[in-house]
Amino acid sequence: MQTDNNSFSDSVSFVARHWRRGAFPQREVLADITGRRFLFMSRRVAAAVIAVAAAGCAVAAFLWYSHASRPPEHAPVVPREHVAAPPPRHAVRRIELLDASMRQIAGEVREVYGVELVNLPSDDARLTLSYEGTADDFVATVNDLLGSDIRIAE
Amino acid sequence: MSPGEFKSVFQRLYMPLCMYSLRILGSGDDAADVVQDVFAGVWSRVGEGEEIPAPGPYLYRAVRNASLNRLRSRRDTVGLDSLDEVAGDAEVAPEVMERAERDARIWRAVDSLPAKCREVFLLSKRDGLANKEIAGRLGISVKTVENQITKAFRKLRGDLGSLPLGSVFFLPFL
Repeated sequence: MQTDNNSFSDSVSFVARHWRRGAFPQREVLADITGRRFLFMSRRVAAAVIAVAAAGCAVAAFLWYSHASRPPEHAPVVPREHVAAPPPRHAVRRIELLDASMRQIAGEVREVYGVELVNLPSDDARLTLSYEGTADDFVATVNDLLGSDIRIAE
Repeated sequence: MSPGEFKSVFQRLYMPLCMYSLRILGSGDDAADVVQDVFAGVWSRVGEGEEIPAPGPYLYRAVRNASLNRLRSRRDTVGLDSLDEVAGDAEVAPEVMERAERDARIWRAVDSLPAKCREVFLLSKRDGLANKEIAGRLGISVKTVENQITKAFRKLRGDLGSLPLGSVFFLPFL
């Protein structure tokens, strides 16, 4: 017991001598080391950031497309060739997830993008996310958030 | 080691390793640099798919060696002879790692003290002021100072685990 008290006193004196507010910012250091500040955000904050970024990109894309597709004055009308719609996997689609399990995420991706996911993690990770993009970009984002290695079945 | 495992190891060992390095270097900034550099090195190995079989002992050795190297680079040789630590492949002693864990828990406990309680605690333990001097400086009663110190130590002891028998009697005298 005396040894315990001596050890405790030694640690208290040591800490008191060196303590400084904010001296060892664990969270910031981890983000700096991994270079991925958003990876360890809470999922809701990450989802909000992604949703805002996606919305901003969508608005910018809409404005650009509106401007670019306006026909120039006095230009002859050229019949547009029929361009096949890109397959769902490569189309920009919106996918909404609310506290979704891996199984639910796979089901939603199948419905929205028409692809199957493989190598899903077996843990209890759940995701709340509002995302707009292609299937490949969505999978890359989820892998960044969860540290997983999910892939699209070829 | 996966990124998730790295994060888990980091969260468990970052503070104890900082405390360990701080014991060697005596400087919080230097200790933070050393520990960050060591973890950054491990992270790049994780990126290359390397396995680190026993990350805890490995990290303690790496921090010890990096801290001693920094000490030498500061040409701060006065303290080297008195150091218990020796650079190299030797394992860091279990009691040293236990002390680092204890230091880290107490550091976190001090972080979480109410501001006034922490101020009284630091004036007492860091600056060595008597209770009467602290009371005069802060404009509070000696009794309040004693209560704040007791509260601080109860928090520090509590965060370490259950109180050993008889230690409550010693709290005001620590």
